[in-house]
Amino acid sequence: MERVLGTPALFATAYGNVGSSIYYALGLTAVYALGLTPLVFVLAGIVFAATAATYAEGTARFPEAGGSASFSRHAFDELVSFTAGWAQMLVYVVTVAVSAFFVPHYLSIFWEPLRTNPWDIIGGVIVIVVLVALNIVGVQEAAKLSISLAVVDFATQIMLVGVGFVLVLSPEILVDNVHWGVAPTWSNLAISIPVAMLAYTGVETVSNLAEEARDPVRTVPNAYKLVAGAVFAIYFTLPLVALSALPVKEIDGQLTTLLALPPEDGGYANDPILGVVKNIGLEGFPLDAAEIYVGVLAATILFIATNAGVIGASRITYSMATYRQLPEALRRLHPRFKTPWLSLVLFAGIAPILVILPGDVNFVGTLYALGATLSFTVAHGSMVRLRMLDGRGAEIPYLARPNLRLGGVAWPLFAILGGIATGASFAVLVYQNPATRWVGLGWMALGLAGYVIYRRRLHVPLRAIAKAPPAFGPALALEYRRLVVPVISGQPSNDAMDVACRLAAERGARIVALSVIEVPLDRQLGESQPELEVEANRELDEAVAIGDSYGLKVVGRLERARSAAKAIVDEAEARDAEIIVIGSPRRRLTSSQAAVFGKTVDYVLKHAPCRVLVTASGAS
Amino acid sequence: MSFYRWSVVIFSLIFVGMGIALLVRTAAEGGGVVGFLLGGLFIALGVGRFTLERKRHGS
Repeated sequence: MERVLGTPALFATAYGNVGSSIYYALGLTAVYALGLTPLVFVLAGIVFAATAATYAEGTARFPEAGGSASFSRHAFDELVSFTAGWAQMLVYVVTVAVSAFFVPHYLSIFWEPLRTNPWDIIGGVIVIVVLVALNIVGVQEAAKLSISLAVVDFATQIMLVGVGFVLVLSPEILVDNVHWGVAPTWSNLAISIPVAMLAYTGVETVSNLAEEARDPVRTVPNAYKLVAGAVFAIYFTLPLVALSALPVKEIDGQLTTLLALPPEDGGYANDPILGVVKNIGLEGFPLDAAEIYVGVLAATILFIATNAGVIGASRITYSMATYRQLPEALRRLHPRFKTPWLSLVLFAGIAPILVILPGDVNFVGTLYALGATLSFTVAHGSMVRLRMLDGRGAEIPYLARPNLRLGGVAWPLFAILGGIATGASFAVLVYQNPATRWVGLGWMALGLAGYVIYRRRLHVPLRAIAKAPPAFGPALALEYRRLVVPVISGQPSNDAMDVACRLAAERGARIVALSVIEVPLDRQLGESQPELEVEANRELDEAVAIGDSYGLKVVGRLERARSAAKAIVDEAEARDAEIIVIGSPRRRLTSSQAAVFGKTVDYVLKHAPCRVLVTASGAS
Repeated sequence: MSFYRWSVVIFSLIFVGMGIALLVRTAAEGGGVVGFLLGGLFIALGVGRFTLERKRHGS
């Protein structure tokens, strides 16, 4: 990733994921929603906005990987957290499967059979195998390429909407497309809303990157708001163009749209955006060029989205195993490549391949929706519970809106409504779709059974938090892999960074440079303090540069807290740090240094959950 | 101006542009409630979001 994860990088990475899903979600939703597809995307979009608000607040509050699993750990207990995490794992498995499965569909511009079984299955399996292998070897993702592609993708989608508006959009056709209760039937309409949520794959992305975000309280909510805006711009408009270009009509005695039909019947369910391009009113060379451009772009975006799913699956496995929710073996690193090879093979390789083997896109879509709606419902429930636990006067770094103050609690209306909507969607899927019901619930039951057995074997209560020891095994005397270095302006901090880099000079080590802005009690925690923020960012940039000179990855983290000392201890605890390296001048402290290095060092020494190394600058 | 504020301005312009396109297209097709309503809503969204951002930052 980029060395500094700010709003632009978080937004681009998230949109790279969310924006990729239109390439399959449009067709899958149209299968159920037919002429009501645009309206269904609006309804699912409202649920997405509520979910994004929940994730924005939860992630700003707990900037750690895990998303709903992490929120529910803080709100409820480990059993609920496992349920959310395991549902999320299903979401990642299906994301890998569906993204990989659609890559060949868009490459069919070069070879027609790739649109249909068995070639799309074979192509999808190849994509998965290649990406799992690359991730085991540990090839770094080209972050800048991913971000550039996300921008190109967004621009292309906007352009497609613009061209569609000019050439084919017809409000009259859109109205004629709707046959209430007939096409779609009411039951299909009910299923279509959770299926449309497939379009919003990737809401977890920002949460999973939050550990590396510099200033999560500010950047995470902004990134979520921008993703919601981009989603609104594309997902509320592209279906209008699609249903104008491919209207609902009678085909073989059935009211349907080509968007919902499989390729064998001359439809575009497997490559809906290519279908839109082919019917958008272009002809001759512009049409050929547009088809190739969109086909290649879509395949590339989906390939990268598959990779994001692969990484997501391995991250969630690691996070769950760290909390003793999954066996230790799953987070064990490959001795040579230092990557969690077993979790990659199992959850990013074998499981997604099993999902795409039947070659049924509708099954894949509803299975995704089942996992996502369960995971989102737990996230919303956790948000409500956290607000109840907070009570009056609690300090929340970022408060999402709208809220209703009642009985001393700021009830999160977005989470309440979002939770009801996602919960109802989950119930509809379970009730109406037998194949999805048995596979989805079977997955959950299998996971829960495994969790109970594993916890019993360890003699750990099901609801208790139990952290596993570091995955690397005990560190050597002077080699650490997870270090926290508090930084403020001045030589002592630079010296501490220097020492930390020497201690950490090993592949896979990670240093967190932490700059704490102490906020006085009369100001809100999230309040903007531009001058202090500029200074803190400068210090963090310097720390990252020192790390660069040693070839080490340094994550800069800006925290706002009432007490710097407590923030340092909390950060070390949250990151499972092996050592805190803190600099201290030998004498003559300036007033700002005294505030941080005087009492702070003392507090850290007393309360740190790990070793503490105090480095003193050279005597002058 | 920060990346976030730039993005808000760009999104607002996109929404207004889409709204205008919807209105023009609907008019060219001979009118229709749905087209005019959607076009109006998109323009209102774009203008509303832009105004909100300006008020928040007082510029």
